[in-house]
Amino acid sequence: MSDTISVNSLSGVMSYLNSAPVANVNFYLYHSSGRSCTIVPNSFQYSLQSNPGVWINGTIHSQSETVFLSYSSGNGRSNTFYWNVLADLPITNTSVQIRFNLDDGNGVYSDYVNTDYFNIKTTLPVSTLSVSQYSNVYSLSIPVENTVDATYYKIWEGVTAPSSWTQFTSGQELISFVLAIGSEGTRTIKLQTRDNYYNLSTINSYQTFLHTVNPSDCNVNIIGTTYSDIYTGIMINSDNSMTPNREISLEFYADDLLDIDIKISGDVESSEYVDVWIPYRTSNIINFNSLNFYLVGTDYNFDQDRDITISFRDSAGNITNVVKTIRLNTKIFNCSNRLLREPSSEYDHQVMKINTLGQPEIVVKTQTLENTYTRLWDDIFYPTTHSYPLNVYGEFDEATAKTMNGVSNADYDAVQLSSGNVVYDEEGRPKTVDWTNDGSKNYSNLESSYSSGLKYWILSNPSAAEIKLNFEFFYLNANSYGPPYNNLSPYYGDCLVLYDASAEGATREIILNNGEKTYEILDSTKLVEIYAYTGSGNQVMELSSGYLVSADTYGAFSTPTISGKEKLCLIFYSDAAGTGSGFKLKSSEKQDITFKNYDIDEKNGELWLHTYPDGISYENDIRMIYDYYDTEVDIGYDDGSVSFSIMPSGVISADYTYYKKQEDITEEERTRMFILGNDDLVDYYDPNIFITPSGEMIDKVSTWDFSSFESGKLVSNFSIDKDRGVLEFYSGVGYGFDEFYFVPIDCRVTSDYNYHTYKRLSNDGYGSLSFRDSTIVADNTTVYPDYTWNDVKIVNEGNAILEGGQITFTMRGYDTNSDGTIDQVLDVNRPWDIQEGTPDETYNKVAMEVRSNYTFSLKPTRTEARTILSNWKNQPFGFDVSPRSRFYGRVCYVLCGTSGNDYPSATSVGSKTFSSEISGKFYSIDQ
Amino acid sequence: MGAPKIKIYQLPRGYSESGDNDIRESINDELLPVIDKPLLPEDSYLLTGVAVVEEDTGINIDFSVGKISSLLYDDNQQFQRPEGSPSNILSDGCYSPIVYNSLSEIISSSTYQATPSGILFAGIPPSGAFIEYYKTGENTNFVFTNKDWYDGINPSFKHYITEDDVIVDKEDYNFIAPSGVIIFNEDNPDRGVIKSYYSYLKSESNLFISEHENWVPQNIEGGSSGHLYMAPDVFVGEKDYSGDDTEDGSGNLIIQGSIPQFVESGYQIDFRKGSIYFSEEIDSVENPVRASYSHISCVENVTNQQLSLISSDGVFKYKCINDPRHPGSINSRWVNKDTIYIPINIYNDGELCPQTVTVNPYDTLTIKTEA
Repeated sequence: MSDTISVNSLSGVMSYLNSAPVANVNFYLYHSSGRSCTIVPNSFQYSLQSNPGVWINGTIHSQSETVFLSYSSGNGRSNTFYWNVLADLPITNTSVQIRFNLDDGNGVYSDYVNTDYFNIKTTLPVSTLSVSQYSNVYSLSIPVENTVDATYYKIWEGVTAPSSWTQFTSGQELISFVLAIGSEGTRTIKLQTRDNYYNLSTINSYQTFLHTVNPSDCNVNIIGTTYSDIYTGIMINSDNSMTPNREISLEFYADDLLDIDIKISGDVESSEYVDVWIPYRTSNIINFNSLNFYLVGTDYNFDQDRDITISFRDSAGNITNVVKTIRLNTKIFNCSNRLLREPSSEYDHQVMKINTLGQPEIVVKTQTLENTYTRLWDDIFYPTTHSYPLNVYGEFDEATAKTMNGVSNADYDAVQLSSGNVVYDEEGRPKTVDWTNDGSKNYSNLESSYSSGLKYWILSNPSAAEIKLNFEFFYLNANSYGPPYNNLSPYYGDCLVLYDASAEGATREIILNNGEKTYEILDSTKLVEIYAYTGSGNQVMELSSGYLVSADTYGAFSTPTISGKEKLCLIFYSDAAGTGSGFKLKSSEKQDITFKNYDIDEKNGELWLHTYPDGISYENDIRMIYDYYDTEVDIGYDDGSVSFSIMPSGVISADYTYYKKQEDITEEERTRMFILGNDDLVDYYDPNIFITPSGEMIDKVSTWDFSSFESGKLVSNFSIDKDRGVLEFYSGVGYGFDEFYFVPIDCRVTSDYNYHTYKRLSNDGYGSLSFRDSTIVADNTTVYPDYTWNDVKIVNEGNAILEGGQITFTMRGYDTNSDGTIDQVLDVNRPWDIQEGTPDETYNKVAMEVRSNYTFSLKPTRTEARTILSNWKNQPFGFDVSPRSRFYGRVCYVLCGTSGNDYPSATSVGSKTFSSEISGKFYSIDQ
Repeated sequence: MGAPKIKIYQLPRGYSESGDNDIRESINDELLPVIDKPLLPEDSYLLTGVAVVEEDTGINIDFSVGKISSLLYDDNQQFQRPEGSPSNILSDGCYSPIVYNSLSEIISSSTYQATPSGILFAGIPPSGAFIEYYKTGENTNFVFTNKDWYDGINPSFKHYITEDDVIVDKEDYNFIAPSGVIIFNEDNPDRGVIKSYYSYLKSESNLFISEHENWVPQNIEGGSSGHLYMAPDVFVGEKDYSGDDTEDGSGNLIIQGSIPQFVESGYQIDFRKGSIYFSEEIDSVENPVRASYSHISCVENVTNQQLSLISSDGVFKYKCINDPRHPGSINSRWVNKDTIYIPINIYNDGELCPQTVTVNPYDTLTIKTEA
């Protein structure tokens, strides 16, 4: 009888083996002889319930038993083997049945036996983790959601995952996780889950940006109605009238690695931007952007501090709070009268407060604040690859500069150090002592070669005070390269041209949010060239004169003193090629900062008191001594009217001058010549002439067009004699019209110009020097002096240098036959203008000492006057006179001569007339 | 081609470089049409000697009858009447009687007194004397104290007539220039008091006037509004200056000869009116007075012109609506300048306005609580 094999209680169930899913196949093996069996090759098969009857060979797990023991009694011996479901049915969740048959190795086989259907699951679990984009702490609470099938999870940072699993207790769990101590920045958190069969999810990475540092350099400026950050509350209108205004703008500056939100709270009125976080920037730095708010208070009679908290929060949630205080002062005092007299050099109001002792105390209008200053402009480097170290505010970074130890590096030009400290000049400006001139910081070619691409700087000098521009380094390439040449440059070769930009319409003011003004060129045709420089080191040249300036080896030099200019414009032009390393212009000198204690609206008689240092008003009586006008008079020049704000009590009459109507003008009166209010205009500034039809406002931007008859600037068909102060329209005859064609009819002709006010003694014409003493005598009595003097200023307003200049005092008139007497007058049309007095009592006794600066004593002593006569008579100045430069002279008329008793042998009474002449040589350089 | 241009300036006392305020800026300076000064002294303008009469009351004259010549008849020893014994002899003013002796020589008016009915001699009356006189007339014709009135174009010195202190429109009367006679166009015997402002020619005078107002002044030291090269030159008489002869292009001597003589002082110029006042009287027949000056043209000065209220809508606006003296000023454009030479003065009852009032010792200010 042959042996029999039976497989009993066969079942399949999903399980795991060695942290991997398998299907356990369990059965009892009966062998009639108790022999062990093995699965017949390729008999292990499975069939999907979805496709019954179709059997597919399955894969027994490699670590599974393959030899099964048996019993020869009962159902047999229990056995298990593992089906590698991942190999056969990956990512599957289905119902299967399996079958196999066994071989006892002795020729006996079992029948195929099938399991019932059971579920196979090799699908992967799914879970998600939510981590913030930014984190400002190391300990995180991270929500993890078990989306599909996960029963365990692992969460870790770094490369190595933890070995242990943590079992889910719910579908969503808040997991505490601590980031590793380390640098800030992007951190990666990983998550893996599994199900009960060790089906493992993919490892998902989640990133958070660790940033635990609060926003730094948080600054807030409160800009009130007067741009003061101390007080606000009143808007000063253009006509000086006062309007309560509690609006402020806030400027912000902060630095952070991340974006920043801000929140405004405190004494500001509620609005959509108050007490809420405002996503305020997307870039790294908030730089003087502003928001507007209204301070809590009342529009009148309010005077309290207002505190505003500005919170800066970066994206990681780090917060820096800044509290700023400003005085809200809306307290306006009324005078009993309107139309107060405008302050002048002769008059000012007096404001008084009553102090605690009950005594009146003058309130000064302004006070200069000690140890504070501002500058008209900061140091200018060009190209901007040159720089000393800067901090985040763009200001000089002293600490970094010290670390450079006085040696330039790739980033910065070095500043001078002494004993490890930065050396500042007398105006508090760091001295740049080294300049990278190795080709690594060259400027580009053809800079400013098209109008919208001008490389320029506008320097504002609001008071039109005298200034000099101080260059510390200057390395421009003076050689001409091209074509193409720079078609906008007034010169060949690279150059920096300084223009007068004061003309109305030349520039446009741009008010930044912080109230600072900056300017841009509006109309370059209104720029008037003053100087132009090129060259490098000690070869820097002023181009209009063609003369080298006094520059050191670095190109450090100063311009001559510039007078009366409210704005200057520097434009840098380069040509097609060539290299140069640019320049550094030092910042302006220090400007005092003053605190204004009050504003007065003269027209309405109102006072706004905001006293130093907090901008507060005053609780007690305010008194004021002032002048006022009993009425306001407004003259209508175009319609010949006079308007009063208050009804005058009497008969109104007037003296004035009026323009005759065209029909009343006789032929003899017609003229093409117009006279300015002043003569002796500054030669190197061209006046601007405007034509304005009756009833129109002056338009200083447009060009006068005879055909359109609208106000504008006169640009053609005229000439100006600056010495005489007259304008002459061209005759229209040569243009096919009558003589007066270009003379505008029924228009006003106005001009903006610069002129001299000191007494003009000479400019290729005539003038008379008045000596300090009207009478001198040829003896040493004490009643009248025997010498006198006066001081003069000499200016060169031409465009060439006077070399070897000297002043000679000489006879007035000509001695044509050299007999020592004058026989020919200077000007036959002014024959009375001739020498008076003998040579020995006039020009032989006169000399002028010159100095480059006015350092003369208050009055020369007799000895000093004699010395001047001795040393300076007919002597050259000793220096060249550059264009637009000035120097000084002391003219001494020393009747006693150099010895003190060298009086003229014969004297005459009456006034004396003689001449002076300035001589020298000059060169002009034409392009 | 470039060149140096050297200017020399006299420094003010107390000068310092940091305080140098020599160069100043002028904004919206209004340019005025100007006639340049003559270049040559001999081309300078001849000025007219005048005397100004600020106010002179008119005298009625029967100008239509003309001058009457008549013998004087004895009345008593000293008072003599013309033939017909008229009672309406014009006895005042520049047309008062002229008395001649028998030799037709004018008898000095200091020796007699003219009356409406005759001549009252101070002493014994001359025998055979005769008289030339005008009659007083209706209230339409007027003469004044002086004749030879200036009738040029300088508005500052042209006459004007007032009736009861109101300026009379020139259209309302005829003016006979050399005689200074005013004849009203209408026969109105009820005219008020007629007065006149006028200048009369006076060859020996301190005051000499030009035909132009608004001379360009010289510089004011440290100030403005002046012009060094356009300021007036004044000449009195003539002089042959030495050293002023020249040669023509061919080397021929050009003798300049006598030209107007430049005077530097001794006078004061009224630039606005265009006149010169000499400290000493000048006989302009002997020494013609001339001046070379630049002057503003196409404009005219108005002095003490009365303005009328034309609107009171918020402000009280005044304009001139009638000015017989300066009819061209009506609705004219005013020159926008206010300098000492071209002033704009507004008066309220003759007082410059606005007037400045000083609040002293002080004003105690009040607090504004609402707009």
